[in-house]
Amino acid sequence: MYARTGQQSAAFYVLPALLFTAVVFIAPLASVIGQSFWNGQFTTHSYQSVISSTLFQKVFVNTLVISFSSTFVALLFAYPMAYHMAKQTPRRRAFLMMIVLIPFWTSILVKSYALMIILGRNGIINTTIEYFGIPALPLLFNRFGVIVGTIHTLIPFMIFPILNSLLARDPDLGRAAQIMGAGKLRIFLKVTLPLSMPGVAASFLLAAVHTFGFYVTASLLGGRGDLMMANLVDLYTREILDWNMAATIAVLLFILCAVFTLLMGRTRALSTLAG
Amino acid sequence: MKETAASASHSTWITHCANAWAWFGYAFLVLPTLVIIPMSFNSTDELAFPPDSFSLRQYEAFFLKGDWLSSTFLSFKIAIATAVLAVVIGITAAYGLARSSFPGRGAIVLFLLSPMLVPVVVVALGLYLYFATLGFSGSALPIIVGHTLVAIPFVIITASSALRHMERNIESAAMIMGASPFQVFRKVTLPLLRSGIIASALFAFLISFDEVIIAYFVGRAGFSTLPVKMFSTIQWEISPVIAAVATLLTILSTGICILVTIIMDRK
Amino acid sequence: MQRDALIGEPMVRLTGVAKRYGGGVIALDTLDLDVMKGEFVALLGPSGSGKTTLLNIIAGMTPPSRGSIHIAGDDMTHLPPSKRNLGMVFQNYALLPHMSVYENVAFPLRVRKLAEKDIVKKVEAVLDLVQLGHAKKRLPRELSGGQQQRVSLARCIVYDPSLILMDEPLGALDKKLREQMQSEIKRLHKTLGTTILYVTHDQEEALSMADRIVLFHQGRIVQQASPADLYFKPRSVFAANFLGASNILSTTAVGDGIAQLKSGETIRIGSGAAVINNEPVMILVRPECLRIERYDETSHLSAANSVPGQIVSSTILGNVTNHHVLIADGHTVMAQELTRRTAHDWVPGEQVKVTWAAADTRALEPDEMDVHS
Repeated sequence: MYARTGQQSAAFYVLPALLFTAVVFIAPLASVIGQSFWNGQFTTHSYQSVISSTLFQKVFVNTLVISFSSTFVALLFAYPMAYHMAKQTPRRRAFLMMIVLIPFWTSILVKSYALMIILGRNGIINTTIEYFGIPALPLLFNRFGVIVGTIHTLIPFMIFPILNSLLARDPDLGRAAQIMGAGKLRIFLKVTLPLSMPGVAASFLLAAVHTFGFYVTASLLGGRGDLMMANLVDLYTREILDWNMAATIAVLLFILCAVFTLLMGRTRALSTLAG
Repeated sequence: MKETAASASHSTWITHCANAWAWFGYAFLVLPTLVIIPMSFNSTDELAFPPDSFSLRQYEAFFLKGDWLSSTFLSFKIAIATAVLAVVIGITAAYGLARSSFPGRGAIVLFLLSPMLVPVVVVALGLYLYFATLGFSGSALPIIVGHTLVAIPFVIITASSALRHMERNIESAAMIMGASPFQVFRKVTLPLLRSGIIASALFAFLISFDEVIIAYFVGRAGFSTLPVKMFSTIQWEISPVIAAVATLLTILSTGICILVTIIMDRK
Repeated sequence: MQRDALIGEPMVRLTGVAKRYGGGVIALDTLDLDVMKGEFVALLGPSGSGKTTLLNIIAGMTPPSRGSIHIAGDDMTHLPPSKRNLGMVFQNYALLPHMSVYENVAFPLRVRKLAEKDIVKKVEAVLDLVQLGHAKKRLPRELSGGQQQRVSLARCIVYDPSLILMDEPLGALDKKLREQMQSEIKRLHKTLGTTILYVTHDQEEALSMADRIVLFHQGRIVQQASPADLYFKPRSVFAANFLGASNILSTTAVGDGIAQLKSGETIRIGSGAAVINNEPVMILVRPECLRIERYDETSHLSAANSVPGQIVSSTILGNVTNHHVLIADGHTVMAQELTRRTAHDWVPGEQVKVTWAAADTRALEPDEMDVHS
């Protein structure tokens, strides 16, 4: 029913973005891939040495462990929070939305720095428990610190898709079940939870993939043993100055993300975003 | 009867627990940023909470010592350039996607949003290698370009949803009244998208202003943005002047969030 | 240029226009239609009958699959909407929400690059014509629905398009406002002599406004005629049913102009489709043409058709009263008469006979879809 004849030219409006993305995204990506095979001459050696290196293997495992455990704990927060938000009146929901949106848009550096103040040796938590005579706990510069920081970033990220799928469900379904005599808990378990599962699955995988590339959290809140793949890329680029290795690790990180992206069919979810 | 009553109170108890857990979550989200603010008024260089006494010493350090201010100006310049570029490119792309159909449209959408799917560090390394070969070192251009790349998908998504919700007959009416496709875009579509454009410009600005990794990889000596300077400073010491910087950044992002909410609400 | 030469020529000429979508969906079957200059033509039909598709094809918003569109003698088939010099009024007004009433009306003149002083003159004149001179600084959202639609009318007539398309323009208004706007549109049509193509699914609106009604059904034109002809001389069962209330009797033809009900009564047919002996034929009688008489009364109409029946119900609807009568062949017919105090009130169950004149009896063509199925 909509205008087509006069608007075929509208397709040309996409050209600047296509050109920009090709030049600034595809070309650099190509140079990463090229660099991963280039060490003064063409080589595939870097892939063998990366994969067989114990440092890389440890970092690879770190990345998966930190990503999945953080995503899992974040989901334990995000789902009840999204459910709580979905039940509120639109006015109150808008307020809670602000509470979630502000940390979402706050710099990762600010969040990490604040967590350093809270979790540090002289931080709020340790000062408090020492006041009660409990010895200080190691909360910072270790795995715990990284996971707390990652969770903090992931919660808002995960709330939005879950909240959308909760709000998108037929609001009369719950009421219908209630009229038929089901209790609130039963309604939740039999109606709400199953219907929101696609949103939960999407947000879980989306968040996990997002976390694979985390860099700042691990380098500020973690210890030497908590390096993630992005940190390793940085290490090879700036300290070891081995671009060939850095590029190889970047390609492997890219492949890891791509595999999980294809796995969840996020590609389709994304294209619906822009209509 | 009894059983129903028992299960009702049972589920009320669970509801209370779930609500309490949700509120714990909200507290966890806002608490860190709230801690920052009193810390920024710390008078000593000790990093203890709560601070012993209050002063503006850390703000003084931010404004007068070191080169915090020049980094801030650099970040502003880069963020403004990014916002302008990302909005111009992103809005036109969103319009083209929403108002035409051509084969392979889905693939193009995916292509334009793909910078969002790739880890930033991969993009950053790519830009680093790419610009090293092109020889752009010693300029803010690589940072601006990288930030624009990251911001464009956000602009496209925001604008696409605004375009989808727009009353389409308005554009048709303008066309039938004799407006050329470009006149429709300029005089009808763009003004109707105004709040969406402002919102995406503000978010693009914020994305750039807060971005660390690309700026860290691509920026050279003399070109460290505020987040990069902050990042390298925190890695060496947890200096309280950071609290002042963090407070200013928090005010900026909170302000932009509130502004966007107001703009979108007014519509 | 040659405007005068065009009088008597059609303003719009559609030749062999068809629209098919993927998957074999036929939105519009091959059709021809001429609209004369100054004519007010209503495209009437149920939703999904193709009338809005046709309007979009004429406007240039949907390309036809086949056929050509000529407007004022020029081939417009491949021109974009902006080059067709048409006006269009939408159901939801489609005003530019960020512009004042004045700027909305000035918009088509600005894109035509008229001089500012001409724009002022024309816009003021048109706003006075639709009685909105006082509201020119307001924004569309500050106006009522009726006012918004008047702005949208003003915005069309201000640039004197060769043709104005209206797509259910009053569909969003309540009944009273709708009637008011109907007469306003009629008035504008009379004063300006514009050619109007008016899409509606409301038969009363089409009957009261149009010079000619084009009736659509399943992507085809089933009949086009003046309101009176369409009412009195519907060609098919669909046309008879869609316009006004109707009684349709199934009969079998038994001779030239004579049919027979299942229950045996013969019926004289006054007009309509040719009938073939022993073939079934559908017969239309409008409710206001039926008379109810006492069973034992001798009919004073010489050529009258007469069928015995039994009163089912009588309902006063205000100035008219509807009587439902179960007639001998097992169908229920409706008779409508002006409400008045009579010596005798019909009571349910009462034995009566229903009579009508042969001139009010019309043989209908079966619907084409019935032929197919």
